[in-house]
Formats: sequence, structure tokens, C-alpha cells
Amino acid sequence: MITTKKGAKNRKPQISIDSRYGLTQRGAKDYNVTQSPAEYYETYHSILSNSEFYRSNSNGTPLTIGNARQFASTNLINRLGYNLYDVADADLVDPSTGKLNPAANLLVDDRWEDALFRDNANFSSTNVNISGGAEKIDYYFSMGTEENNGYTVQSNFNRKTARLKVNASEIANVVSIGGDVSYAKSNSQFVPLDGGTSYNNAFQWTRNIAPIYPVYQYDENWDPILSNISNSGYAYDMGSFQSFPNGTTRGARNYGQGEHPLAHIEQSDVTNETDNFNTALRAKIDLPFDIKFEYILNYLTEIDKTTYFNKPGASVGATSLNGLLTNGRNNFSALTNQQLLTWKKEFGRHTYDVLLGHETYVEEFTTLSVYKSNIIGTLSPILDNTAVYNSASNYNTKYTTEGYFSRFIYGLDNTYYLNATARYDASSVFHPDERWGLFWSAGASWIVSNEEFLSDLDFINFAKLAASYGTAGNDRIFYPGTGTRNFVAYENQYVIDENNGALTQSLYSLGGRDLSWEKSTSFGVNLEIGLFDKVNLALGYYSRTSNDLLFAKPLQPSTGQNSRDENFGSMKNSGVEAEISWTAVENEKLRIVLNANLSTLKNELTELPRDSIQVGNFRRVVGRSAYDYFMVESAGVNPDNGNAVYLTTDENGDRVETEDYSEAATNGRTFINKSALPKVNGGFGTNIQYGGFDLGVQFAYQIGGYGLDNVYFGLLGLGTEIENVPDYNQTWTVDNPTASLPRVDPLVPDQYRNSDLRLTTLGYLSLANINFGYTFNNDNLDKYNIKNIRLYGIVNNASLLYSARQGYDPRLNSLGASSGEYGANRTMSVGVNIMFR
Amino acid sequence: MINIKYTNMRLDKFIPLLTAILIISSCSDLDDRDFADERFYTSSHASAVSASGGSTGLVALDASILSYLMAGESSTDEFGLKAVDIAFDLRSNDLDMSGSTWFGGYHRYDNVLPNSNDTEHLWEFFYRVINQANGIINTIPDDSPEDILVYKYKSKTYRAIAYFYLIRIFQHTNAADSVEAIPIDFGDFVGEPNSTVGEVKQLILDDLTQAYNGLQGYSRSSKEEVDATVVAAFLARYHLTYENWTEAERFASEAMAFGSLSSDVAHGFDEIGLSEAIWGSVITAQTTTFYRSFFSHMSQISDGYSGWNHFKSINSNLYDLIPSTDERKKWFADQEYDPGVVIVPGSWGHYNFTPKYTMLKFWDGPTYGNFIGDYIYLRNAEFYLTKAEALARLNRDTEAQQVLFDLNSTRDASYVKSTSTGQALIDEIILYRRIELFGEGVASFDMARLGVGLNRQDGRLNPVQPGADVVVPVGSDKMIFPIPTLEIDAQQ
Repeated sequence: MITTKKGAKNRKPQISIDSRYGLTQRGAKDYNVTQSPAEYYETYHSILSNSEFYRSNSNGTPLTIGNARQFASTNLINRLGYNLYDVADADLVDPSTGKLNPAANLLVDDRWEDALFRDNANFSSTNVNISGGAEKIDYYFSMGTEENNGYTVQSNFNRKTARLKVNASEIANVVSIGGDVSYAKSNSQFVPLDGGTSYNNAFQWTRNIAPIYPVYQYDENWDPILSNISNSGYAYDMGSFQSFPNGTTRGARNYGQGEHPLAHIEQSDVTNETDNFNTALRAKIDLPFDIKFEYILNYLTEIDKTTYFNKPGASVGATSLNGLLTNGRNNFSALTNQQLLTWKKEFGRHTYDVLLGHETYVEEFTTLSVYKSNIIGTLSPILDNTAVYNSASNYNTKYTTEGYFSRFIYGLDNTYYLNATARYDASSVFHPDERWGLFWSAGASWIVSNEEFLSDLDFINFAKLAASYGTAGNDRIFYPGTGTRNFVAYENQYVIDENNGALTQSLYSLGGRDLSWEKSTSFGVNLEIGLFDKVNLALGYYSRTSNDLLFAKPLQPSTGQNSRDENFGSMKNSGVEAEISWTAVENEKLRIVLNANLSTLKNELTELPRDSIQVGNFRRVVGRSAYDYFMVESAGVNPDNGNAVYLTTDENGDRVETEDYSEAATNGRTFINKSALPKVNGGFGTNIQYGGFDLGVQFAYQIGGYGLDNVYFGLLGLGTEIENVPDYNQTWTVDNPTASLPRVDPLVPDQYRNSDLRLTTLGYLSLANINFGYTFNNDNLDKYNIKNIRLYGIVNNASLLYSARQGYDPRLNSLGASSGEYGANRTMSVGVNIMFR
Repeated sequence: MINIKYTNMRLDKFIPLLTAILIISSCSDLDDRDFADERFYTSSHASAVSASGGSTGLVALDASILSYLMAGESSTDEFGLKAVDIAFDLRSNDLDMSGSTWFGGYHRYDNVLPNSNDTEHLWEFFYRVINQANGIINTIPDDSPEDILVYKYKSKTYRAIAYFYLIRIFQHTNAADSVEAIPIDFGDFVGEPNSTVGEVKQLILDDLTQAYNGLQGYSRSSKEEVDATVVAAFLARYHLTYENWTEAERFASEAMAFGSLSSDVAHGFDEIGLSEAIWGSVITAQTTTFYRSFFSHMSQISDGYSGWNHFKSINSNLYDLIPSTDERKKWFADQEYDPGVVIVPGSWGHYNFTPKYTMLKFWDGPTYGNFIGDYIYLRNAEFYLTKAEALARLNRDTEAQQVLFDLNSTRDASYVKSTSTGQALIDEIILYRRIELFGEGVASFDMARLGVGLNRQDGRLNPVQPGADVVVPVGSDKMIFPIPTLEIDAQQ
């Protein structure tokens, strides 16, 4: 770990205290789904009318649209299950207008977002540090505490940290030693299964559920039913069918029946307690002939205690088993040992800097967890309080690397530099015969501004030109379809499990005996210039060619596996990077600095062992990028009936329209000529200081590229399960036959199948963060031994100013395919920082 | 000793320190493999275990196939063979669901796409069985001892079962032998082009025949395992499907001779101890897949998915054809029941109401919601019907009438032996197949072999989910699944 925090020798102790308090909010708006019960009833009435109108026509028994609307009014509550108004089911929506009955009164209006999210999700932190030094010794000490109540109810995080860093030099004239020890303890309470696509994902649930389904359960008169289980005192509405004593019935809720994220959150305890301990020790000895020997040891360990506890009320499953409890213990450690020999020497105009080193790295992980059920009470989630054993898991992993490395730097006149490096590395991921790889690099740099011929050009403060060329290796292989690293990639691996007490052994992943390092060759040129004492400019071009890519090659699923890792093909990434900062104003009172940066990325496949490889919606062929979409192409909407139209390829190779998605998916997929890679991304901003005030504002942007907005089109493609609908007014209806989006139709699933209709530009502009402050720096503070006091405010992830569609946030996924992600949070905080002298 | 000129001390003080550092830090255990340090069981670990003797590995590989047939994949509608049974019965004329939930796509026929999850699952599930079976078949030489060869024959059975499903799911049952069908894989992870219908059928028959002969001397320890009777049952299914009536009759006779018919038809079909069960899987508290299970989806009584938000029911037209004296009529609700009513004696009430025609055939105890009911894959009653049909097809009507009587008289005390002959007798047998085997995964495959289309616009009164009131004619592309895009894209 590199840190700039350190003490300084011969300096008086300096103490600094920083304390901050803030709030977390949702950072970007959700999709434009219906917000009120009235809006939803009217929307679904229209959906049902148009669906029935289409169905009757395609069946050859056509209804008039008026009849279809009457059908919708009659069947609306039958389909939806819940009538939240005080009028008869069939009278809720007027078939002639499609509007809600003006005489109807809303009887209940629960809001899931109120129940699931905190209005005042706050966090606070305090850090104290002391630094200083004496002759031949310096120190830095810090302690901190942080408490964070998450945006979703019941989630929270708190952490305590401590760190001590001490360096001592010239011990017995030739030895210097240093130590950096830090400890952190954190406790987290998670929301069960957050972020996934399950019904318990609070963000997905509030977005998807129609606003006609209440949070809490109500009786036949819409009075709340009480419960002593929930935090609110009201019974959760699990969406089950209800029959009341007066003979009336309600429901069932036609969405996520038996599910209730608030019940799941409130009736679960998902916690993680983590201890982190990090030690870095180094010793350096001066040897003869200006050679130094340095030994570095770094040990990092993390101990996790995890609890996943579903109280009996968390779900139907937890109820039937009277509580489910999984407790786990994980232990991770990483030990690095380095031995370095360095030699630095100046001979007149010549400087030499040579390093030889050896390194070993051992990473170990062990885990143990036990799952039991039927617990006594809900107050203590420990396994001894449970009756029934269900399962247990335990495994270890180990990952080892070893490397020899060297670096050579030669300088002439402090102006011309040459450098060369070489590494010889082994990774335990590969078979012993394929383990070692040789990597090297060479580079040169030239501080142009030191040259005589530029000495007349006073406006050039600094200029440096550098070029480099080199190779590097990658040994990161993952188990198929996971983010879990495979540390024994050269062997077939099996899962051992049980079948009614007997051992079972089934193939999990295919090994590759010949797998070895993926090698990338990079070339880069960089120019750094400082001008007029005001402008700093950096320009760079890079080109990186990766060979023997570690690639999960798709297999025919009929082989029993879907992929096999191979060193496979070549790919080139190239682009430019530019960064500029300009001190626009600088005087005693005011200083304004503007900055901007951009980078571009171009990706091209240069070699593949097969003509084409389809991976999801991307097709890999030589000459194109690895992220070029090859998929079904939409041809818009049939204006006569609102059907989705797709393109397919007929026997003659001509592109023709079809409303049969299966036909288009079988014969019609094509290159869309859109890529998932943005063309440009970057940022710009300013820092302003005026007297004691300071203000920083930073923006981020991205241009080009397309992502699949699966969430939005998934909602429009609703099936017979009832879900909320976004932008319904942009879809085809009898009254809106020129709309750009197909008819929303629960009975026609081909309307919104996966096609390029889903592709949405990845461009965005965001106000990334704002910080501002005022520093008190006057003599009156002296008597309290205070050097200065700074009051400040920070807004992080302030606002998504532009994206292609409200609710679509391209920042959440690297290739832009939306799923049930938790939205980005905005945090706003105020703080005070006091420096004591 | 080296004196350092510009220091006032000697380096030798530091030599112990240097030495210690070098010793501590230069040990590299890169090449030390310890089997305890692997996330999963590796092939070299397996080799080392095998080398130490015994057949632990082979037994575990075999058991994993049985386990996979029982539990399948992790999605809620992918729990192995019984999930396929549900899926395909929902494609038949006989079983309906009232609302959309898991398996809804099968019922609506709208998952028949080259890139749907269901298409991919059906393909991958059976080919994984084939791959696991090939793994065993390829490692056992033909001259192995008998107790090892048994595993080879068992795996040939699993392989044949998987291909038998695949060929009927991905190609029309009556397709000519020369028609292109599906790949025959060899377990080498290379990938093969499509074989013809005839080649696949021949492989199934060869595998089953070899297994049948090879397992003659083998006596299984439980009904969870595969033996010659199980193979005979699949041979009977095979020959019935491809209309080799003599062979069908022969193997059905053998399969139906196993165990005995039970007069208690209301027990829920949740115990492989049932005298009618030929082959199945025991489900325990440890191996249950809870709501992702057969009884969760098929039994309103067991309080799983069925009954929460939808009901599974019988086509009312079929219900009306069941004689009122037939015990099997009690497998379905004869009227709408209020919440809490115990409809099947020995079970319990449901908080939901129960519409007329709701299926009550399957339920598991001892209480609702624990889902530890066993899975029955094969039942001897099926082979009475297979034998009866084969006999009738062979114009041996008297014998057919008797076999049908032997079964039906255990279900209906008033059943009178049929006097029908010819097609009328065959029709009666087929009707009783639809009744007896309701919900057991046979109905839509019977439709395919008998050339019957789907017609849900037949005036049925039981609740059918919106969008599922479809008509699919015989021979329609919708009657089979297309080969997944994933397979075709990788087939180069």
C-alpha cells in the first residue's frame, strides 16, 4: 500500500481532527412508471382493452374497441386482484372514457418506497491523527470511526480504524527500518439478498410493483390488520388470497405472491463482522559499493464472521421451518516477501539506478459455514439455539506466485533516460510445466525543456516526452459464469455432494492442461508540458495487443459443458488520453483552476481460432470489436395493430419484415453496427479559492456506445403477472396508432422480446461531486493552540444531469446492460477539520 | 570480516539478520500441491483416490446422475425429471394452470423459441445427464469385473433415457428415420453435428438392450437405483412410442409384474415404498429442494406454489369422462370448496378456496410445507395400460380387455370388463391412460405419438390462465422445441 501520510523528522507534533455528518439519498430518478393507484388502474384498463381488441380480431371474432373497453372494465379487478376504491369492481373505470370513476374514493394508499427506504439515511465519521518526528525517527498515528445508516431500512455499517507508522533511519549508520501497522473493525447489517433480481431486492420491488398493491394487510373495510411481528405493528400483506367473515374475498395479489421485501428485511438479520489487520515491515541495509539490500514483508489478514438469519416471519419457507440460520467464518490472508538489491550511482553526467528482486506471494482463504433451522426465539442467532441440521460447507483455497525481477534506469544530464525491466513470473494457476512466463519492457524519456534550444522559450516551464514498449502477463481465470477465480485452472474440477446420504461427484468445470499466461504487449507515447506557469498539459497514445487471451471458449451445450477456458485469439486496445489544467486566475485573493480530461478506447479483434464466436448478444469476428452487437433487429411497430415488427433474412438473403419473433431469432440475427464500448469518456471541473473560501466542482461524461436497457423493456413486455409500466403514453394503442413503441400486451410475449430496440446510448453527463469550505486562519485561534479550522461541505454523486432515458443509468454496469442494480446514491455531508499546532 | 570504511561498526553483526531474512523469505511453496487447498475436487485428487483402491469415485459419479435427475438446476422450475414431467403435462390437453407463474410458458406454448430459458434448460439438462453417463461409460473397459460393469450398464440406461426425452422434445415423434435431429455426443467435449432420428433411436435401443442384458444378474439395494426392471419399463415406453407392439407387450409385461397395484389411490404418490412404484427418488429433509419441488408446484394441499396464486386443474371434459364410481375421480375437486376445508381425508385444509376441478392427486406429508415427499418416476400401472394397448394393436382384444380390467377393477369396484374391440378398445385404453397417468409426464408425449393436436378451445370449464387458450395442430412447429441458438452458434 502506497501512502502519502507520514510524519516528518524533526517536526513538532501536529494533531488534526476531522468530523463529518451527512445524508444519503437516491442519486438518480427511476423510470417513469405510474405513481398513483388511479393512474395505474387507467393504464391497465387501456392495456386490457387493447389486448382484448387485438385478441378478438386475431381470433376472427372481432369486438369493437367499445366492447373491448367494456370487457376491460368488467375484468379489471379480476385480473388485478385489488380494488382500492369504494365503488364496485366493474364501475371503477368508465369504459367510455377510460377514466377512473369520479365518484370513487381511494381507501388506502401505502407507498412501498416509504416503507423500504429511509428519509434520513445519515452517516457520520471522526478521524484524529497525530504526526511528527525527531532526529532519525518519524511517526504517524491515526484513529477513526464511521457510522453509516444505509438508504434501505435496516442496512447499516460502522467501522473503527487505527494505524501506526514509524520509520527509523541510520541505526548503526547502515540500517533503516520501518513499520506500518493498521487495524480496522467493521460491522455491517445488510439487507437480505440486496442487488439481485430476486423479489427481495427493494429497488426492483418498488419499481416493479403496481401502486395498487399495499404494503400492509387490510380487512374487508380496509382497516389495517394488526400484528405483533412487524416493526410498524401492521400485518404485512403477503399478497395471499383473503376471504373475510362477511363472505367477501380479495386477491390474490398477482405479483410476487408470498413475497414481501419489508417482511424479509425486518424478519432477517444479515450481518458481517470483519477484522482487518495489515502489517508492512521493511529493513534496509547499506552494503559496500553503494549497494543496498532491502527486505519487505507484507501480511494482510481478514477475518469475517457472517450471519444469515431468517426469522420465522421472513418468508413462507422460514415459517414452515421455524427460522433458518447460517453462520459462517472466513479467513483470508496474503503474505508477500520481497528481497531487493538496489544500486544508485552518479558518475558526472551519468546516473544509474539498478534493481534486482525476488518476490513470493501466498494467498490463502478458508471458510466454514453451517446451516440449521428451527430456532428457539429470535433473539440470539447462534447455532446452538437451533434444533435441525441442514447442511455445512468448508473449503480452502491457496494461490501462490513467485517472481524474479529487475529494473535498469540510465540517465544522462538529467535529461535523457533509458529504462528496461524484465520479470520471470510463475503462477500456481497453471500446470507446473506451463507456469513460468517471461515479461519485459523498455522505455525512454527526454526532458525536452532542459535543452538549450528551448531555453529562449520562457513560456515553456517543463516538457517531457516519453515512450515505452513492453509485455505483461495475466493469470486471472474465473469459474464459468462467476466472478470467482479458478486457482487450479489446469484440472477438471468436480462438486462433491450427497444424494440421500450417498456421495455424489459431478463435473463443475473443465481444466486446460495447456493454459498459460495471457500476454499483452503495450506501446505508449506520452507528452507532458507546462506552459506560462499556468497550463499543464498531458497527452498520450497507447496501444495494447493481448495475445493468447484467457477466454472461456463456448462449447456446444450438447457436450455437457457450455465453455472451456483456453488461450485463445488476439485483441488490440488503443486510444488517446489527454489531460489539461489551467490556472485561469491567480492573485492574492482569488485563484481559479480549470481542468478537463478525456480518454478514448478502440477495441479490435485481430485473431480468432474460429470464424465467429457468439457470446451473449455479442459476436466476435476478426476486424470488429469484442463488443459488437449481433442480435435480432427491430423494424418498429405495425401501425394497424401495434404488433412489434422484426427483421429476418429470407432464403434469398434479403432482409424482410416479420412479426414472428422465433423466425427472426432463428434466421434474422445480424450485426447491428452498434458497440457496447463508449467512444470517449472523461471529466471536467474547477477549483476556486477566494480568501478563506474554496469551491470544487467536478463533472463526468461519456459519449458513444450502447447498452441493453433490459429493465425498462422488461417492464413494457409485462406478462400476465401484474407489474408497473413505464412511459405507457409512448406505446401503441387504438388511440395512439403512431406511437414508436409496440402495444403493451400481457398475452403477446413477442411484443418486447430481446432485440436492438433495447439498445440505449451510454452517453451521460453527471455532476460528480461538489465540495466547498471556509478556512479560519486568524491569530485569535493561536491562544487555543489551533492553527486553523476548516468548515466544509461535500456532495458526492450529486446529479445525473443527462442520460438517454430517465431511470437508465449507464454508470451502473460496465457494458450498460441494466439489471436490478441498486441505484447510485447521492451523499451530502458537512464537516469540520481542526488542526492544532 | 569486511570492514566498512565509513562506519564505525562491523557488518558481521548483521550477517545473522541477513541470513534469517533470506531463510524466512526465500521459501517458495509454488509446487507443493495439497489437496486440502482446492475449492473443488480436482481430477488429480480423484486419480489419487482411485489409485488407493475401491470404487468410491464410480459410485459417487453414478449417484450424482441420480441426484441430478432428482434435483436438476437451481431455477424454481428446473428440478430435474419431475419438472420436465410437469412442463410437458402442461403442454397437453389434460392439465391446466389458472394463472401465470413458473411453468406458465410451457402452458401457453410461448417459450418455444431458440433462445428461451426453457429451451436451453431442456437441452442442457438432458445433455448433462448424457455427459455424466459418458464419463462413466468411457472409463469402464468391457472386460471389467461384473460389479464394475454394472455401472456401465446403469449409465447406458441414463444415457438412453436422456436421448429418449431429447429426440421427442426436439423432433417430431413420427419423423422419418432419415430426418436430421440432434447431436450424439461422445463425452470428449468436442461437439458433434446433428445425427438423424434413426441414428438416435438406434443408440437408445442399443443402450437399453445392452443395459437390459447386462443388468440381468444385478439386484439393486433400493428402488432409487436402476435395474433390469427399470430398463424394461423404458424399453416398453420406447417400443410403444415407435409402434413395435410385440416388443412393447413383452417389456410391459415385465415392468407391470413388478410390485403390485394398490387399492389406495388417495395417498398422494409421495412414497417410493408404494407397491406400484418401480423407480424413484427418496427426498429427505437434507435433499429437499423446498418450494423448487414437484409437490410445491403440483399440490395445492402441500401449500407450495400451487394454491398460492394459481390452481392446477384437470380439463373438465376429461373429468366428465371419469365414471362417478371410479376412485380416481377423487383426484380432482368435485365442487368449489371454501378455505380450510379438508378435501382429501388424512390431509389438511388450505387457506385459499379450492375451485372445482383442482388437482388433488399429489400431496406429501407428514405436514404441509416441508416437501419431503419422494419422487416416483415409474409406476407399474402405466405398463398395464401399455400392455393393454399393445395387445389391442396386435388384435389380441380379449387379453387386452383383461389387462385393462386388472387395473381398473382396483380403482373402480363397479368397473365392468370392456367388451369393446378394435379402435374402440384402443380408445378406451387411451382414455384410461389419460386418467391413470394424469400429471405423471406422459400426456403430451402420448399426444405426439398418437397424432393428437392441442385444443384448449374445447369448452372446458376449469380455470385456464389468460393466453393459454390456444389451439396447436398436429405437426406444428410449436409441437417441438427448436435446437437452442447457443448450440447452433457453437456448432462450427
